[in-house]
Amino acid sequence: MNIKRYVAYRLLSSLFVLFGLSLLIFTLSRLVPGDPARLALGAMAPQWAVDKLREQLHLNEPIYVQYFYWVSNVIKGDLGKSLITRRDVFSDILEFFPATFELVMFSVLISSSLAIILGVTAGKYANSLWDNFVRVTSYVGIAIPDFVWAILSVFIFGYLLRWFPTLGRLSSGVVAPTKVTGFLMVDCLLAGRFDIFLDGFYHMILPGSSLVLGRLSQEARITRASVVENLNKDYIMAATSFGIPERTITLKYLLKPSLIPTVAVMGMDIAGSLGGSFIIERIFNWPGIGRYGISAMLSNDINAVVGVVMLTGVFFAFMNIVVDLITAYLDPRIMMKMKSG
Amino acid sequence: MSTSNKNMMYVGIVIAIVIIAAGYWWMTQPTQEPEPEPEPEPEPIFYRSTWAWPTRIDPAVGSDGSSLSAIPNLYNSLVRITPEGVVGPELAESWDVTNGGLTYTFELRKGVMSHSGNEITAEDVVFSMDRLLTMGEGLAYLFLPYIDETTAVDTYTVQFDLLKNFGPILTVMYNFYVLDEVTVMENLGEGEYGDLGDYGKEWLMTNDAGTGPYMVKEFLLEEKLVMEKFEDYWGETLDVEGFKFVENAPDIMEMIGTTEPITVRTMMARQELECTDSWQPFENLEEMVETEGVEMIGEVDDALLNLMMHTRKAPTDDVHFRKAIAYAFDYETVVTDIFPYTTMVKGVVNEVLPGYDSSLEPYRRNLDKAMEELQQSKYYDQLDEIEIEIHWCAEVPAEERVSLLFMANMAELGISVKIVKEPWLSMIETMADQELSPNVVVVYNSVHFPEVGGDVMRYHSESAPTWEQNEWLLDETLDAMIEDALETVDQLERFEKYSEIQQYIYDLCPTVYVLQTTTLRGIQDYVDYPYVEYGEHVSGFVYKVPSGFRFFYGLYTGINPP
Repeated sequence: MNIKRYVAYRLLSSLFVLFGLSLLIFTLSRLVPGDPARLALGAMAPQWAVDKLREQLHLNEPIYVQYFYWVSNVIKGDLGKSLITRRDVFSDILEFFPATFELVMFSVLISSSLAIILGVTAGKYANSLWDNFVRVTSYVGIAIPDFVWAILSVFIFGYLLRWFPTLGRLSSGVVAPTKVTGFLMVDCLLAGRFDIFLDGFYHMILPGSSLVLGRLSQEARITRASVVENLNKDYIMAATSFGIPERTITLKYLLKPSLIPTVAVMGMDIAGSLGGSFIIERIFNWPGIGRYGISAMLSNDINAVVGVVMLTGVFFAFMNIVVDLITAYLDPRIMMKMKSG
Repeated sequence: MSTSNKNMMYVGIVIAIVIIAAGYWWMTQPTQEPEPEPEPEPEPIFYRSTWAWPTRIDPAVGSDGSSLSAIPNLYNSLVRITPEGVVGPELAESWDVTNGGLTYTFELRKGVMSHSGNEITAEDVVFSMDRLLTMGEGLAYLFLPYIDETTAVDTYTVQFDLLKNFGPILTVMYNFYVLDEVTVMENLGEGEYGDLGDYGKEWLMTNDAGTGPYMVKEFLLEEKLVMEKFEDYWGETLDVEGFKFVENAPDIMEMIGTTEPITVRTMMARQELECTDSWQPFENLEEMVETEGVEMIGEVDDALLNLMMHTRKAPTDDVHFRKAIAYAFDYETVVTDIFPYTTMVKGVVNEVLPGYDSSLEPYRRNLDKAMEELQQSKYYDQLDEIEIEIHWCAEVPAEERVSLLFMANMAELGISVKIVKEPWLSMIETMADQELSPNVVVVYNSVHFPEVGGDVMRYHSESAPTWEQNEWLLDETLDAMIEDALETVDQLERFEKYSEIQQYIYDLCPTVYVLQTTTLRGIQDYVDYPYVEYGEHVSGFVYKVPSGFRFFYGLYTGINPP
């Protein structure tokens, strides 16, 4: 019951954060130089057409009036029209978000599982040859940005070895099944098209793995540090002196508390990937929300910019709550605090 | 023998008899010919190319390079620019000009079917023009000042009444595309056009209502546009020469929205791409040529790279000062070192444009002449106090090199230069204000329609508050000359007026014409690029093609995949 109250409280406080974010991004988007209506219609468009579009966008009103219009439309589920695609920004988000989400989930599954394995083993065998290997590899992973990995992987696995495709979500001539959920992989499975599913999965390997290394390295280091810290705690020594098998100690008593900081970082990594994967999406021509957002910024597509930033904000807020709940599950002390209000 | 063993023996005997009988029956069956395997479906022929995104395929919205490359494959115009560079028939079989050039009547081909199977009639033409003018987007600005009314005289006759004469109207008409009204009306969304909703705008962003040789198969926003061959294309069904598919015409055309060099190069190496976009770094193209067996092809297009000089701001408000700059600038270094394979401008407009005057002696680097002009300038004695500002677009890094060269050239005259890097969005804002506009701006200018008038119209005062004109000429005489030329129906007479305009601009020297752009692309050696057949060879792999002539792969060249 109290957990529900806690979630409700967090949702409510997130609304304030999102309100602040919307004020900030809305104002910034209107302060960027260049008339969005003129940019959308071109230098030679007749003035009446520009004026009409300005009127539709309420650009002639003071900024607080514009914001009022925007908020009242958002409440009705209308984020406005994109000046690039000429469609509802909400429809665009529904179109592009699944592509990024699938990519991010693919990379998260790989990076999280590997990070935990590497971090725990490196921590358990601290200062061993394996630990040093993981350390050096992690430093390299953290130091080199995602886009460098992307370019390297295109060069090695796409250009030299030609193992994986480097462009888009499906091969030429392959048509995606009818949209049901908007998530390509899910829709393929629902339509029973395993051939297209495999083709899509094949296309996801290079862009997805380009997002893996940075996160994997950071999360592995954090897990390792946490494991080392917990290994020296009294309850682990007590468990060991009671003769409890090492496997049980690791999986039952060591892993859960050691994962708490890792989970917090993972949550932020996932949320950050939503907007931060734009370079990867650009390199692999991945039609995701990051790429859409950058195109919108370069074209001064004000409604789309605000829509994408707000989506990222919502996702961050959501991930924060999820992380809190997972942390509470992993640490009974936090759970008890939540329950006691 | 026990009972169970006996039973087992009987069962065995029965099974053996059944097997022998089945074998006998099978052996005695007449031998059947194995059914012939069905012919494998031929692999579709692909033509895949990369483009700078976004591509807008609604003919009343799209106006940029990739859009204007996609639209003519999906739609048809009434007329087209032929490979010879003149206006020729397309959906219209013939036309008449009456009423002193104020009425244009087009006779449409009969039996032209849209991708939805509806016949195209005069009503569709009226609908398409009304839609374009009502929306006022894309290329509508070319028609809005001139088209008064469009009328369907009968099923296959359409008449355009003009508000005032517009000489190049037929040349401009190749940018007016006809939509199938029935298809559009079936796909109206909610919008600001009353009963017409959104005029089909949203639907037409990802679908087509055209008659062109290709139709939209799939449009994945932010990824690619996939078009497939339209088997009932009117060029084929009506057997019209010049509009039929050639052998090995691509079945599928993909326009992929990326210009990332590493991705493009990888795709070319894997032969998953037939042609690159025109934004590839020159070094990347050269590498592809050397290592991947890719060919490089260049098209002298109708755009110019200009240094626009503010004629109402000191010291570039002095014509001698401007001429000194024009004579001091090193054009040769630009076309050889900074933008290889581009060509120098031979006058004040691009030489591929009909109406170009070749009699003007172009400004070339000549420091003596530059100094002579500078000495005649009213600012000659104040050079120590003068600093001119040049702005270049932050999104085009090569422009910085042009600016640096400009700075070095001006230093030879004793003129100080301040270089300012400015994002495009900010640059547009700056250039829209006469006070804020800098002395010099580095900008690419394209033509509005393939004639000299389509270039020089940017010097009209109406263009002054846009990024198209940093010169701020605001010259009533020139405005009148431009208007007069554009209203001249007779082509020869119009071209003579264009010559006078070019001379006038030449004397004013408001612009340093840096170069004529050459669009470079990498293509697979199994693609016969149409430039080779339809263009005029300039040098190496560079060709000059008629301005406004648009290639349709299905109609002009085939692909022969390895």
